[in-house]
Amino acid sequence: MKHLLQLSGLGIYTDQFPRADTLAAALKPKSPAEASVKKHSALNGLIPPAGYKPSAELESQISSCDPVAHYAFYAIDQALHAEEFSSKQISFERMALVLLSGWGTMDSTMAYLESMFDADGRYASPLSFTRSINSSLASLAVIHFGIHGPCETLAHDSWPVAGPLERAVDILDCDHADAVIVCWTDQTSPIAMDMCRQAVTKLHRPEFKRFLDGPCGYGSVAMIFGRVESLNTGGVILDPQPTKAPVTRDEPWSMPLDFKPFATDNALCLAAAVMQRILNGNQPAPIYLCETAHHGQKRYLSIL
Amino acid sequence: MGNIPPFEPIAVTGLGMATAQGLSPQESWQGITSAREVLRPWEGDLPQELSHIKVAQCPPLPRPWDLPPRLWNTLARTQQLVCICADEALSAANLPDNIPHRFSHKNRRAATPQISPVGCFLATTVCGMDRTEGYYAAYRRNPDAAPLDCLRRLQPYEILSLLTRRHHLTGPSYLNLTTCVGSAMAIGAACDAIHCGKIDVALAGGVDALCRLLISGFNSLRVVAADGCRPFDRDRPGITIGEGAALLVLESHEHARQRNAKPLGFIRGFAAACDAWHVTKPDPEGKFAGLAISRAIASAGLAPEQIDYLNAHGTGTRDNDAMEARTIRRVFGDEFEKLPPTSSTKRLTGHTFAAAGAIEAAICLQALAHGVLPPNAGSIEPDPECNLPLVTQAVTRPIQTAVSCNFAFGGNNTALVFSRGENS
Repeated sequence: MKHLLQLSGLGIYTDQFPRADTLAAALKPKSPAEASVKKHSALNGLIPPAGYKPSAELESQISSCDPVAHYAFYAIDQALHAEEFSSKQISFERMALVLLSGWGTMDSTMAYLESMFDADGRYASPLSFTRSINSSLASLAVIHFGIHGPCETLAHDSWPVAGPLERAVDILDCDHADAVIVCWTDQTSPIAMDMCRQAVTKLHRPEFKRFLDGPCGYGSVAMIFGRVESLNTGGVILDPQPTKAPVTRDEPWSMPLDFKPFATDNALCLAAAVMQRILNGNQPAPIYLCETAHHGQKRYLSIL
Repeated sequence: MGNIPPFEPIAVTGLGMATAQGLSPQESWQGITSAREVLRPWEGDLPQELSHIKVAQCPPLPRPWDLPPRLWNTLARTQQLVCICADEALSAANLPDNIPHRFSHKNRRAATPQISPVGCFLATTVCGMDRTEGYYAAYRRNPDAAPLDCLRRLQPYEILSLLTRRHHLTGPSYLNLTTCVGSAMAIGAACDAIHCGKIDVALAGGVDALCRLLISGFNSLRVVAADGCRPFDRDRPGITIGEGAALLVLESHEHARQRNAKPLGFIRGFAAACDAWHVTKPDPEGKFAGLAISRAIASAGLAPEQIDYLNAHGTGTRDNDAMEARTIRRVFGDEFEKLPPTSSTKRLTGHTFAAAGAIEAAICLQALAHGVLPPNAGSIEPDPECNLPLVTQAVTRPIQTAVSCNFAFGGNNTALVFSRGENS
């Protein structure tokens, strides 16, 4: 079964939702009669168990890392604790990580630039330099979690959700790994926000307007995907639209994903749609997401 | 290693390359094979303590005719470099008219189902940092008076956007930031997308440009060789920082055959694996570096003894070169005679970080096409502990297969396998 992804773990750590179950709680049907045990048990298999807490080892590891690494660690750790993933017993040598961030380690880059310009760089900080490297986040994550498959740090490209999902499909289809963790992570940065303010007001770049509309969030979303061996296996299956196929269908329910400065915003919408799909289990139609890039091109994603 | 799925050969039908040796594949290859010394202090703004460091800087970049000076002069240097390489690669590939790109007659038409979209797979590390540095220096003095043009280059995806818009590349786009293995991963990702049937043609490679942050940052880590690197030398002092870009036009073998394209060579295998060991140092045993090389060779359906040339990562640091030599001996066999002729070309091109994988892929393809092995320049007395069959000067020798290895911060390891013919 090619070009499909089976979700086996989901982790969320954002300023609004510190764990995956808090987002699920926000989406739950209001009336208890509407909620079926079966639906919720399906969701429970994908998110960390009730009472989950990050281990003391994880807490101690992240104490010396950038805030943006904290978020990624928390989200990945939750996804790895999902029952659905644990039951698959996948070797960490056959696991890949695809990490995507809009602003990456912006604070460390700015800290390094400060130290570089101060005193002509005599005290330029090697630690800030190492952390300013975009892939340092993913490097810390693979070291902590012991992941030995391909580890790719991707930039916020035109389709921050569909892009890394399509890459995850390729990694699995070409047998580079048996499971792929896709992690979106972002942090706020005062200077970045100020630059965005200038981009909107002086350069007429509306895609950065979000920064002016209210307080900025931060956080991370992590999802673990495996191959779909059979459509009858159940669970949540994602279908990132192959580029070649013309999109002609009418979406019965669609969730627009507009281009935003934070990749994690779009990933959070995806997580909400996945949970909605499970919670609305008696609704036969898939959920379709449409992601529009800043240049207007669209990518489609079906949650089957 | 288990069963390794076979890797369908991918044809390389176009090549663009800009290095300190020259701004075309021909100029670069000529400089590399003649081991031309090009290292010199950077022309950019550096404090006194860093101004003596020799780097590998590209010659002045000519402005493409279609980019007006008011745009060209505000582009980040990485964007300028990829523009030059993309023009060269796509022009050399001579793609048919049903593929939209700026050299085709149908380039202004919107993509339709009849037109094959071209994917764009890029890698960079510094992105638009040369412009961001200028912006930030001014921002510190007065935030409202900082030059806003620099702000336009802040986001990494700007590099990709420029290329996809200019060349009408409407297929999947991908920007990898995994430092020194970035462009090897971008080439691997492009091959995967072709194998999965998403596209038939892709432009893939990497770019990085010199900036103050890069020179100052690596100097702060104390790994820079001020007078140039000496890969696998007994007294190797560290890396040479460089800039450059290389882009490859990749096609499914079937697509290339149908249009009677003449491939420069073929990509036959790719693999990546991660040490998960240390953020800046490689695992000294190179277990996962070896795994990446072995898997790539196996996916090509080859045995290690069938590899005719190895382009090593060979940065010239003590840690990298020791680990790499140990890994090569483990993969290819501990007997000296069994090891493939090996060279690192980083003294000649500098360590171009995210561009290194693509530049070294281009070097392997030219070595296969010309039947010449490029030299391991810079090494005066080879380190007996490394004990590799280094190519001391360019050697004319017909070869059929080559491997390029790249290793990066965070213990990321990649290997690409190339062949002269589809079944070599």
